[in-house]
Amino acid sequence: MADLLVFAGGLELKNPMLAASGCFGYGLEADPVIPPSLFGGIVTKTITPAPRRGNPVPRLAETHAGMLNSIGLENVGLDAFLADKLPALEDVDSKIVVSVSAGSAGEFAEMAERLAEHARVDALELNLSCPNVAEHGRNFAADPAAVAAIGKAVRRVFARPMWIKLSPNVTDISEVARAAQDAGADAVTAINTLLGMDINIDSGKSPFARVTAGLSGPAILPVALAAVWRIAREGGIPTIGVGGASSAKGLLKFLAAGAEAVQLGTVLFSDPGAPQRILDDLATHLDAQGHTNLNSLREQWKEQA
Amino acid sequence: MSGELSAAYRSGRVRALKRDGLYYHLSMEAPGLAPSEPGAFFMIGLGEIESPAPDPLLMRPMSVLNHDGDFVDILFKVVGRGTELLAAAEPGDSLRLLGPLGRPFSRAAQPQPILVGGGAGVPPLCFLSRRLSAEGIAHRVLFGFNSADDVPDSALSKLSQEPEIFTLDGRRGQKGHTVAALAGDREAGRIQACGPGPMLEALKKVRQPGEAMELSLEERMACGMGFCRGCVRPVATGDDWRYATVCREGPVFDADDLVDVNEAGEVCLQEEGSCG
Ligand SMILES: Cc1cc2nc3c(=O)[nH]c(=O)nc-3n(C[C@H](O)[C@H](O)[C@H](O)COP(=O)(O)O)c2cc1C
Ligand code: FES
Repeated sequence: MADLLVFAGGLELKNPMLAASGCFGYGLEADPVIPPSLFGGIVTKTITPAPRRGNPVPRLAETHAGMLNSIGLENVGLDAFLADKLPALEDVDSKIVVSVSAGSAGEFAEMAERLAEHARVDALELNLSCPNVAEHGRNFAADPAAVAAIGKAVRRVFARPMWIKLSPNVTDISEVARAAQDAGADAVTAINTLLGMDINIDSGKSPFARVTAGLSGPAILPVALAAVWRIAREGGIPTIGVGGASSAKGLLKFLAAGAEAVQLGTVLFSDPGAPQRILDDLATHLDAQGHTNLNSLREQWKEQA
Repeated sequence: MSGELSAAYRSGRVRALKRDGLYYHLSMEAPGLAPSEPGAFFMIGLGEIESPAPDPLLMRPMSVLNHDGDFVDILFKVVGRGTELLAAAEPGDSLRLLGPLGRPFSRAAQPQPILVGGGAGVPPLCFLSRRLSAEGIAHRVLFGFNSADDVPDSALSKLSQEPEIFTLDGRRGQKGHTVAALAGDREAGRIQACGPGPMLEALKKVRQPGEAMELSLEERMACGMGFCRGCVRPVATGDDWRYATVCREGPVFDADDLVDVNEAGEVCLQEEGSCG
C-alpha cells in the first residue's frame, strides 16, 4: 500500500488530509463516528482571547451544492481551551493546529505566547477573516499590511510552524500571500468562506442577523483551486488547500494545483464517512498508478507539465 | 457536549413510503444502528453512503417514530426541497442515516407523564407513548392538528391508548388547542411536549406550580453531532446564559433550563463578512 506521508507547512503529516477549522469542533465531538486520528492534522475551532457566544439562529442555510454559515466565531476562549480542550487531545494521533483570532496584532501575539507553552500545539493557524476592531471591523485578511503586521508579531514569539489563513474576498489573493510570506509564515491556508447571503422573499430580508454569511461546500471547490494555483505558481510560500473538497479526487486536484495538504470542512457535516473513504481511495489511486508515495505522483505531474 | 455518541453512519433502504394524513410515513431498513430512545432523531439523506457530493448536500434531522431492530420509521411533512425529494422516494432506494442522535425524553411513572404534541411534533411522542405503555406507565396523550385531514391515523392506530385529539377546524376530536385542555387547576404531572414554538410558549403558561416539563425543540442542523455549532438555543448557567446545541444537548430540554435573552448584542460586528 502506498505511503500517504507528506511534509506540509513545516509539519510532517501521516497523510495530507486535515480537518478544517470550525468544521470539527475541538477534535473529539464526532468521535467515534469520525475518529480524530484518521486525520494527518486537526485544525481546531478558532479561539479568541475571551469566550464568544456567537450569533443567534438561524446560523445555517443550505444552497445549491453548498451552505451558508453565520456562527459568529462562537468559542470557549483561550483559557478554557488550554484548561479543557487541549489536554483532551493528548492521545490523538494527529498533528494539532490551533486556529486563533484576535482584535489586534498585540492580542494575536499574546495568544501565541501562551499557546507556545504547550507542547501539544504543533502549529498555529491565524484566522484573519475577522473584524479589525481598531479599523471599524474591516477584515484583516483584506489588508496586506495588517496581515504582515500580525504575522510578524506572532512570528517573534512562536517558533513552531505558523500558517496564515486567507480570505477569498479580496481582489488579489497572491498579494496577501506575499505579505504572509514576508511576515515569515510557513504556509498560507486558502481559502476561508466566500461572502454570501440569502434572502427570504416573504420578508425581503436576509434570514441572518449579520445579514451576510460564509459560503462553503462543493460549490466553492473551483474558486479554492484557482486561489491555491495563483499562490503556488509564484512559488514563494507553501499552501494548504481548503474549500469544497469532498472526495479523494478533490484532494488530488488541490495537490496538483500546488497545495501541500488539504483540509476538509463542510463534507464532515454532509458525509461523515468521507475521511475514511478518502484515505482508502487515495491509497488505491496511488497503487493503481504505480506510485509508492505522493511525491512520486507529484513528480509525474511535473514531468507532464 | 453531553455524553459519548452512540450514533453510527450507515446506509439504509426505503422499505415503504405512504401518505398518512398531512404526513409521509417512511419505513427504512438500516442494520448496524444502536437502539433509539423516544425523542432521539436521525440525520437522513437520500443516496448512496459513498456519494461524495449529494444533493441536497446536508442530511435532514428527523425524529424517530419507531425503531425496532433493523427497522426505523419516521413521519415527516414536506417543508422544503429536502423533504420534497424524500417524499418522492421509492421502495428499494438507498438512504444515508446518521444516528440515533440527541438527548431523549425521560421515562418515569411519577409524576404522571402528559404528552402534548402539535402537528409535526407528534411522531416522537407516539414513540414515547408506545414505550411508556409497554413499560406499564400510565400517561395522558394530547395531540393537536390544524385540520381533521392532517391527522396521521395510521401512526396513531399503533398506540396502545387512544390519544385525545384536538383540531382547529373542529372536524375531529375536540375543537381548539391542546393547551386549552390543560388550563386551570389540575394535578401537576410531567409535561413532555413537541410542536410549534407558539404551542410550547402557551404550554409554559398553563404549567402548574412545580410541574416538570420537557420540551423537544427543532432547529436547522448541519452536523447533528454538536461540532458545527449551527443549531443553538440559549440555556441558563447560574445568573448567566450560554448557547447549547439542540442536536447534542437537546433536542429535549428541561423547560427550566431554556431562557429568553436578548441575543442581539452578541452579533459579530464584522462590517461585511463571514465570521465562521
Ligand atoms: C460552520 C462553519 C464554521 C467555520 N468556522 C471557522 C472558524 O472558526 N475558523 C476558520 O478559520 N474557518 C472556519 N470555517 C471555514 C472553513 O474552515 C473552511 O475554510 C471553509 O468552510 C471552506 O471549506 P469547505 O468548503 O471544505 O467547508 C467554518 C466553516 C463552516 C462551514
Ligand atoms: S447541527 Fe452541528 S452543532 Fe448541532
